[in-house]
Formats: sequence, C-alpha cells, structure tokens
Amino acid sequence: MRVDPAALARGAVLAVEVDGDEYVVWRGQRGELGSAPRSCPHLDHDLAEGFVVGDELVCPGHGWAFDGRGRVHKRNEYGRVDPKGRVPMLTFRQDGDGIDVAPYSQPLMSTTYPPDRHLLRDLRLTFEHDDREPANRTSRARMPVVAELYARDGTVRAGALATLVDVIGGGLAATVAQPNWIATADLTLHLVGAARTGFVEAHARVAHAGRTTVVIEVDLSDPTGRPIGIATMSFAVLPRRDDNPDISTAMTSGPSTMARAGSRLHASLLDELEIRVINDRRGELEAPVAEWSRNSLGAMQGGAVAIIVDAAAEAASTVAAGDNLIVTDLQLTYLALARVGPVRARADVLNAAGGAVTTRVELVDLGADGRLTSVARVVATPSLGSGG
Amino acid sequence: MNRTSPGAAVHGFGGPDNGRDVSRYVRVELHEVEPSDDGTPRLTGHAPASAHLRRPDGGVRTGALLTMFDNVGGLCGGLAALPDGWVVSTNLSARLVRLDHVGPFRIDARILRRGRASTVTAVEIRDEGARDMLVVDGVLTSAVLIPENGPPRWARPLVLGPGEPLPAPVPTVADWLGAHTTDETTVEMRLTDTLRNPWGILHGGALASLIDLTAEHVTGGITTDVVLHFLAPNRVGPVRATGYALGSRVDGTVTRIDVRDEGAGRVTALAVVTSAPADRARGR
Repeated sequence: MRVDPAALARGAVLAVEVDGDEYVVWRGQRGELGSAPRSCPHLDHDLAEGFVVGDELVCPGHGWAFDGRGRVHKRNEYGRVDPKGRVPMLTFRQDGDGIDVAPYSQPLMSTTYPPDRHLLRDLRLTFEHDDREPANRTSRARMPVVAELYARDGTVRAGALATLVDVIGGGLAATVAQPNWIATADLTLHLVGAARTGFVEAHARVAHAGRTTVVIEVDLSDPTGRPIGIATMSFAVLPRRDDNPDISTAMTSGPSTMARAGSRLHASLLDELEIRVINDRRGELEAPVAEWSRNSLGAMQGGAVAIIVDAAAEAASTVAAGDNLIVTDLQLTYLALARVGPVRARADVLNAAGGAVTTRVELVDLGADGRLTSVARVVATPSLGSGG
Repeated sequence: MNRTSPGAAVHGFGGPDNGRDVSRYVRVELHEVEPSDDGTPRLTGHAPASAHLRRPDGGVRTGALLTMFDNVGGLCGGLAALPDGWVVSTNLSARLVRLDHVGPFRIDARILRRGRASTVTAVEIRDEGARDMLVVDGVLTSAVLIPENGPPRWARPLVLGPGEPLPAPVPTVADWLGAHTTDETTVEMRLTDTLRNPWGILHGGALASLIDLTAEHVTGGITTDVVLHFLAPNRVGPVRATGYALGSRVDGTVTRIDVRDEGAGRVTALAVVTSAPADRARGR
C-alpha cells in the first residue's frame, strides 16, 4: 500500500488497510512515523480517533499509549509507566512522492546465535548457574588460558577478562530481569593479579536487582583461588522485544558451554577482531563490526568493545611510558550500540605518574556518522604478579 | 545526589534549595553555559581548594573533589531530564590524575547520553591555579525519576551561588560527616539533615567522601580511582562503610567497600577504590 505524505503531517493519524488488516499510521511531533492495529487491544476503541503526544499515539478510551514500534504502555496519574505488551506494526519506506506501507515481519532471531565461529564459542567458556531465586542467584564461569589471550607480558589481557565478565554478568543480569530484557550501561574491572596458565574463574552475584537497574559484581580468581581482580556491571532494564533472545534454557542450573567441538581462537584476540593500528601514540585503532564479534542485537559485543579499549589504551600508554605496560583498570561506559562499523578508538593520555599511565578512550562508529558509542578511563601499569 | 527507587513517581523531592548544605560545605558555585550542539545542557562550577578540605600533605581530599563532581554532574543530568523528571545518581566512576592542588577548581559537566530512563554526564575537574591541569576525569550516570510533586522549576540559565560561608572553624571532612572508625575495616557516620539531598536521602557527594575516608582507613593511601554504585537510598542511618583490601600493585591497593544503612538494615552502595601509597603525594 502507498500513502500520500501530505496526509501525514506531524500529529496526524491515518487509518489504513494492509493485506486485509486495519491499522493506524501517525506522524509524531518529531517527524517519526508510527503504527499500530486500528482497534485498541484494551477495549477495542478506534485508534483512528486517538491523539498524538510526542511520538506516541494515545487511545481516546482509557489512555493506553502506543510507541509506534509495537510497544504499548499506560502511564498512571503519577507518571508511572506500566507495560501493556506488544502489538503488530507496519514498516515504512518513503521516497519522493509517497510512503510504501507493509506489514512488519519480525527479523528471525537466529536460533543458531552465536554462529559456529564466534567470540563466545571460541573462548571455550564453561558456565555453572545455581537455581536459587533470581535476586540471590549466582553464576560461575571458567575461561581456559591460552596464548591467544595474552597481552605483551604473557598474561591474559584485561579485555579478555572483561569479555568473560561481560558474558557471565550479562547472562546473570538477563536472568534476574526476566521477563524484561537488559542493556549494558557500564563495566568496570580492577586487576590485582595476573593469569598465566590454567584457567580464570569468574564468580558473579547480584548486587542489586531493581525495576529499572541491575548491578552485578564479579570476582575473578586463578586456579589456586587467589584473586585476580574484581569487576562490576550495571544494566538498564528494558521492556522485552520480540527479537531479544530467550535465555531461559541457556541459564538453567548445572554446567553448560557455548563451545562446539572445534571452537578455538585461531589467532590473537586483536587479530581475530581484525584490529588495525592507525597511530600507536594516539592509541588510534579501527576494527570492523564483524559476525565473529556481534551480539544478539547485531551490534559489537560488549566484551569486544572492552578488548578494543584495552588495545588502544595499551598502545598509547606504552608509548607515553617508553616501556611495555598492560591494562589493569577499566571504567567503561556504553553509550550506544556500534552496529555499522568500522569502530574507531582513540586514547588520550591524561597522566603518567607513579608507574601508571591513565588514558581516556573514546570509541565512535564511523559508519554511523561517527557516533560516540563508548567512553572509558583506563589505567595501565607494568606487569602484575600472580594473584592478589 | 543519591539513589532512590527509580522508574516511577516518587515522594519526597523537597525542592531545589534542599540539599544545598552539601555544596555550601565544599563552596561550589555554578552556572549554566551555552548548551552543547545537540541542545543538551552544560554546567560549569567553581570551588576553592579550601583548607578544611585538604589532607595533611596539602592535596585536597578525593572525597571532597567527588562531592564537587557529584554536585555539578548531578545537576547537569537533572537539567537534561527536564521537563519529564529529575535524577538520582546510580553510578559514579572517576579517576584522580593529580594529587597536589593549588585551586580554585573548575568543574565542567556535559551530557554524553540522554535517554528516557537515564542520563550519562561527563565531568572534568581542572585546577585553574595550576595552568588548568586536569585533576579528575569521570562519568556520572543517573536514573530519571518523576517526583510526585513534579520536577523542580529552575530559572534558566541556572545560576547557583555557594551560599553563606560556614562559621569558623569549618569542620574537617570527617567531622562534617560525623564519621568515626569502629574497627580496622569500618567507618561509620550519622545521617544528619544537612547531609541529605533534595530527595531527603544521604547526598551522593557525602557518600563519596565516606568511601574516600574508608579507603584511607583501610589502606593508608590516597584515593585515585573510584567506582561507586548507588544501590539503594540511605534514609535512616547510621551509615556504615566496610572495606577490605583485595590486593596491591605498583600504583596502589585495590579495596572493595560495602555501605549499609544500619537503621534500614540493608546494603546501599558498593564501591571499588584504588589508593596510591601516601608517599606518592610527597614524591611526585
């Protein structure tokens, strides 16, 4: 079906029929098009008589609000937002003189995510989750130490440890947030010991589980139980979308792994991510958003982001110190998903004193108009001893 | 700023002037400057390197700097949340990159991200008396809440003075908090009304100072790196912070700190702190 754009000025609502089903289409106050079925799922009020508030269409019956992308909610008198589920929606393609409207087909969530060759498989992580109630639940994960994970000093690089943290922390947070979904807000890592052989064990617990945020704490230790470091992660709790993965089976109690029989790293982490150094001194690196490192939303996985931050800071810090340094602390804030790529990192040295170099690293998605996707403060020091 | 139950209409926002005692203690004055290119607000604050905020070696306490950080960063995040709501801090992550200070300080805050449910604010503190050198670099993340009586109404562009000077002698940070040690790992403080923020709960800047004192008590060092997760509001008190040193490396000791509101019987914050050896402040 094709719609005349003149019929959809800002704030206008238009009833349409697409493949025999009735919908409404509206244009929000910021110019975004939205859609929903014509009948409100609450009590069948005609949404063609609804009114546009911001980018939302509000039902004239009882005030249910439609965000235009399939989500419905109701705001109470104090402004509290109560989700009311999802409804079908349309897709739009606008050209010079018209708007093509078609039913929206949910992209099929790959049942094979992650694909056969993927960061999450090739790290050969193993997990064990307990079956306590979500707020008291804990998870353990092990990451075998292999040379491909090493930084310059022959110890597992901070970015690899951050990836372990991201996977176990994200999994635990997703469990706690169910039936909603989560978005990672920040990841911090502070190391006090080195991992050289054997495996790294991560033990994650829920520090806070609220309606809008989840905080996870992760202890890292070596095979003798000596502490390697401590990590924290914050997550925003979001309404579930149909393309969010179902983790109910992945997080069942007992041991599990995502590794396949042939899963392994074929090169160093930096090479697997296809990181290209542009300028060592400025910590300028580039990496594509590739299948091997995408998350379930199709964007660069949070651990992969941490590895790039690690590499950028390591490069700039080593030049600043005139000596090989390794990253020991990360404070990483995720601002937006890096979906397109390539991702460009740049590290600015803030300070070099007391054996440590502090850098500020920024990541932008060059394919998305240079959008800032992550910022981090990173500390690099000479090699750590074994254990804390 | 500090945290209360987010995501809903909440009670108790006492108005913009409540909670000013904390900024009065660190003498922060601030004003709104030209918005960023994307229209989000920017704030600049100034504060002296006051004698009552200094350590024995002469540098200003990291906790006091983080109080300034939280004050200006929190207000910037709040302005970005208007007109929908106001904010409470959920995470403060900052790195101290200079241990000796001249002052006055300039605190610059700008918005990195403004979402429906949260704001992320970048905050820098620079030493105007030391060729504008960077002192603290960090990020403050806040949750957007909807106060029951509506968001605060500010005259824009926002200008806030430091308030009346405190009568002499101005207390040290520990005395201001009413903080005392209870054993080799724990520092406890009372929760007086002058330490509350506009939501009526312990101010995030005051809590950051408690974290700094606790890390110093456990390690004897100077706080150089703080990750502070505000998990639940401190409403009752006393507020007790307990730390243990996880391990050491060339640049200092890493300490994990738990904070509890003893009167409410719950954990309210989690922090990870790196402390540099105290002799670094003398031997830079």
